Amino acid sequence: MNLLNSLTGWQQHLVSSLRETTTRYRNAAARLAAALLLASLYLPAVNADPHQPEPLRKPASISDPAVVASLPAKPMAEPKTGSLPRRHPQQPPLVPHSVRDHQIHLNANHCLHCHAPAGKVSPATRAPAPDISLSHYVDRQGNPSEFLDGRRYFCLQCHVPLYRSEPLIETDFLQSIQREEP
Amino acid sequence: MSKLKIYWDLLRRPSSYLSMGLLTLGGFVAGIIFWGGFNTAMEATNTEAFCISCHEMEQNPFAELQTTIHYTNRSGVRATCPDCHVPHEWTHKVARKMEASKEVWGKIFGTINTPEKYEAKRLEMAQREWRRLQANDSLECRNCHDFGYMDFTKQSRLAADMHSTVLVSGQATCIDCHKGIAHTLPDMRGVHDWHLSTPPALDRQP
Repeated sequence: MNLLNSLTGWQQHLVSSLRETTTRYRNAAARLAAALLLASLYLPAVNADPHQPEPLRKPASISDPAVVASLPAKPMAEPKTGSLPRRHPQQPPLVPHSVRDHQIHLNANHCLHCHAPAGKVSPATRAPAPDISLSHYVDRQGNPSEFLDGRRYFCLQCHVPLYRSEPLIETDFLQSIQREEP
Repeated sequence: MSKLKIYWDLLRRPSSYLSMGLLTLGGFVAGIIFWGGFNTAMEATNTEAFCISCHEMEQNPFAELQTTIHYTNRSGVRATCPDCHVPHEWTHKVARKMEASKEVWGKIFGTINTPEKYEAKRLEMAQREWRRLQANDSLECRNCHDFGYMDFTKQSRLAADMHSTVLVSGQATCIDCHKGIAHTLPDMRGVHDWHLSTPPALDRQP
């Protein structure tokens, strides 16, 4: 209080206006939270069908401001880059870059442009990147081939880009894996 | 024949009633109207709405475009069909439009009016576009993507390497590496630099 008294007039004014602003924002935040709570109570009721299990993705319209406010900040954010260590044994390595517009279908496979190992059949414009494991060039009977095996062709079935997103439901998967480790 | 001759004689004879001023000014005004009308009609065929008024274009290339970065992205800048497929400069545009009259033929006779027919023609159509972009040094890409303003530090290492070497020296042009940037790729097995990346096990049944 001594400190406050020692302030000159305009400084006191500044402090009190700061307090006022803080209170106003706190009220606004409380109101927003209440609105979101109401919306969350309301939304599941929209399409409630007693015969269907409740979907993880709640029925909602993107034009609803409450829904927009609840979206992750950057839904199309770039995946994490750099080294991504395996989080559990046998995990297919994650993709540390965006795979947007990378085509993998019968006509072409963009991944092979950078990841095909030397000596295997690949597009000629190969660039330096981690090699596809030779285990992916072995067929069901264990015969090595110069072609990527058909079972391994659709890379993104196992190797996924890692986005900054929270799990939709709680999981104890990692704990259960770690418990099994010696 | 004699009727035609009457018109020919009329054209050859000096005007006996109309003034020189009317003929000059009238010709001038008619010229403006004709030229403006021609250009307006050509511009009308140069819109995305016109392109996708055919179901062939709407359900194949346009549908494929919609998931790509050239259609939907953070900042909302997008390319429409003519941005990439029609040159902006007038002479080249008219030349392209004359080529495109073949597409009217294709529409009438249903050359690609089913997904199967489209798929069968995909390689041929894609190669035609690749050839065009290779011949004009990817002019349509460069209408928006100016090499001189690229910040290599914002690009991936591979992209910066390629852009600062083969692209700057003119050994390669955009389309050489960026095939399939906006549409599904055709069967790439016969294409230079792409050969045989599809395993035989996944080969299509004939």
